[in-house]
Amino acid sequence: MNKITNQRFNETIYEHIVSSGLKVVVIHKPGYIGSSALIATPFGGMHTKLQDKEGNVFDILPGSAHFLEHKLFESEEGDIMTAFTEAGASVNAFTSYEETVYYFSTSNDIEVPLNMLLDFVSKIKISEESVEKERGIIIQELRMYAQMPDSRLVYETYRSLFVEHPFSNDIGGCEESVNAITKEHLEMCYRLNYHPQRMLMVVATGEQPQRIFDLVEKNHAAKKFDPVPMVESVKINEPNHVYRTNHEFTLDVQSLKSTVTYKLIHNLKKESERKKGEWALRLLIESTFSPLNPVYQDWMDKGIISDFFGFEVDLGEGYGLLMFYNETEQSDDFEKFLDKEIVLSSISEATLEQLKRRYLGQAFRSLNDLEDMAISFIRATFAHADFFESLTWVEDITLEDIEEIRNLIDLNNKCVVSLKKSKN
Amino acid sequence: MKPIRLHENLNICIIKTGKFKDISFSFRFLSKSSEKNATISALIAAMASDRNEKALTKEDMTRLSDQLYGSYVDVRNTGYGGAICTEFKTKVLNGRYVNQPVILDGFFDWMLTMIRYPLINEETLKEAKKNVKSVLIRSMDNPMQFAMKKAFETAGKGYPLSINIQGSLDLLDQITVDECKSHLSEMIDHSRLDVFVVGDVDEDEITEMVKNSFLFRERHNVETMYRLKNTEHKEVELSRQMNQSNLILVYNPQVLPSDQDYWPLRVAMTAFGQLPSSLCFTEIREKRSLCYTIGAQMITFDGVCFVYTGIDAKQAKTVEKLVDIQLETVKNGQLSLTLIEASKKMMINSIRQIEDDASSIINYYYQIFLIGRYSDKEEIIADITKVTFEEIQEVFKKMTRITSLLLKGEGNHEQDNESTL
Repeated sequence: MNKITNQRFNETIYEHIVSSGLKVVVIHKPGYIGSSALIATPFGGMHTKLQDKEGNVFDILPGSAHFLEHKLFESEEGDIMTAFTEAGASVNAFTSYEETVYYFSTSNDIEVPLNMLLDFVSKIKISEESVEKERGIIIQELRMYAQMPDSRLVYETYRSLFVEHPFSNDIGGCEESVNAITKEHLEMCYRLNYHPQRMLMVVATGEQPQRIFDLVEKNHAAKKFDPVPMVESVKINEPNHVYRTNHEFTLDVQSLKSTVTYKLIHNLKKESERKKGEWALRLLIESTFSPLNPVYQDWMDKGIISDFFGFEVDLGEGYGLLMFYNETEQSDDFEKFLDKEIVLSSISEATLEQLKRRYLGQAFRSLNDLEDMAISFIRATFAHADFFESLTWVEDITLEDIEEIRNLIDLNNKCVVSLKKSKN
Repeated sequence: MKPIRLHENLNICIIKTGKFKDISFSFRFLSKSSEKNATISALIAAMASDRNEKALTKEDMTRLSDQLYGSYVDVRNTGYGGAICTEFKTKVLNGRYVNQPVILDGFFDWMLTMIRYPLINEETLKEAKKNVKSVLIRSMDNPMQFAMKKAFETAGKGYPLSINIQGSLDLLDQITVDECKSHLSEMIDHSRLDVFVVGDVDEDEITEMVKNSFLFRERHNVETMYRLKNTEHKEVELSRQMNQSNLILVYNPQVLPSDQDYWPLRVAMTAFGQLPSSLCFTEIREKRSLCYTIGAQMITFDGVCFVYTGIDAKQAKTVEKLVDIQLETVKNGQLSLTLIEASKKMMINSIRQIEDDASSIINYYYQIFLIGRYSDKEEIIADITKVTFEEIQEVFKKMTRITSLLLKGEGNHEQDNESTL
């Protein structure tokens, strides 16, 4: 058992790899009544092509990770969700582009639900009939998100920005891909991605860490696992240009919205480099496109931006984006405004220090919630980053870093997406 | 947990704990619910979190907030039956993490200015009206939120249930600066005030601060719980160009938290539609794949319950019938004991877990104080534990449906226009 204490954040974690190869991390939170346990695999909506050491390529249908997440809750012994409820634990799961996570929280003793969590992710037992049944539920889920203006706007933006990258697919896939997913396909996805050596378990709890490790060890010692499949995601060669420069779609809504998104081309190899780059760009944009800028009020008063206005920065492996969103009927004017103000954007030393102070406060606050902390830990680990270091990356940013990273913004390499009102 | 009564209708509740990295403060003022008050409160919330008389610009506000490591005041309104609670909520980092033990000094001054002196003038009101209008329109664009709002308007006609806590589009333009100022002044000086503090604080210091700032006036309470008398069933069908339909079914058992059958109803509702193993989720989603989202909720202080789901328009009648069958299952005493016990367990589990989240602690104790029936969560847990099978069956017989609202998806007639490179 490896103990890591971070004095500054006053947090201690314990790590241990059990005999099956599963890495287990306990975030020890004395004084907390409840426990949250999460088990995750680095298999999400963006993993659409995997390759093994022999060069065999496995094509994964869009939405497979999400479909599998739904199906794993099925067992021959009965309904898994019911079993958790009866144990006084609340269970759930989510699929993101990067990972699938199964988790529960309880204020009761952790042993029973912890064993149930380890049991149900350790096997797949699904029937053709149940896959058919789940299709209907997933299609309703996709339709629900498709008619929610904000989630649809983000989806259409990603579709416009990316040519090859799987971000152009919804995490849940589309009705066509969901209809094409079979029992065998799900079983293949499971086999390739759910081996303990590929997974990570994080338990945030006030319980003694050794007890958690013992429980996981005992559970996995009674199971047999096939050899770990040595697959990795096939690198995506995303072209530098955007897929669609302008795109309009309609919904039966009153609020018209737009996104203007700049595609960022970078060659940052390490997660720490990318995330520091992300911070540098975020700080520059925040200093310009927020109330920190004295002209921000004027922009609001003139209706150039609305209270909905905001931005996102994301620098990942093989992709990068800077997205602005706004409620506006004039997407052309919004685009011109951004192009002009990005050129003028700047940040002073004083503002940089002010923002660092804000985000350091946020970093501390993020450690209050058991589940949030565990999810952040999982994401840092899958990205090969140190969790505690990642909390303070913002402090390292200099004005020189910001000047350098702003060169990634190419005003000519962007897409504009507009939500318009449908005609009756 | 008992609040300390500082004065008539002025209470403070301090939960001293060192397990959070910050200290949470919540000032909750209670005023009477009406469409106009909801609209004024929404405008005050927008202005109070934007600027105040010491920080005259958004830039000033942001700088002050960042000096306190990103503390900000979130002002929001919540409906509690016949009352509106206007909450000024904020968090400040515990100074020991940044070697600044006196961080609270400047914080108190900043927080009290936010509450007492929001910048209310023609300019800020104009901006607030624009923003509140956007929020209202945005929420109508969300099909499920829109369907719920319309269902409550119908079911609660003439009662607070029909009032949109986010404000009224019809009244928005009529509200004046003077009305906002007078409402704020009445609220700060004369409304019931409950103050909550969760974190590692000096209790005496906090109590003194509240006494000095809010003690000097007579404060009035507002009735929260009421019985909705509408019992006639109304059917509403609306339509929108979209692929999915939203069905909302509102029931009026007229059971309030002060009633003896409140906890039997809560347990029954949990088993009926709040768990993955609940009757609605199992029978409608899991067995028949008719929806992705389905659930049942209680609107505690209005004494009503509702079922919400997103479905295919063609299946609306089938789903409605299936919900009825699940209701009958409970009424006829066919609900399994295992599901009842699991529901109780989950309710107790979530009550115990509130201790791990400062906002949950505050929300929970505020409700308890408003209900006035309990002094401790263990009393509630005891009441949940002793709910019987017969009580559940009996209370569900009171479930009278008063509104069925279908927001029908009439297919999408989307137009896509694009230009590619």
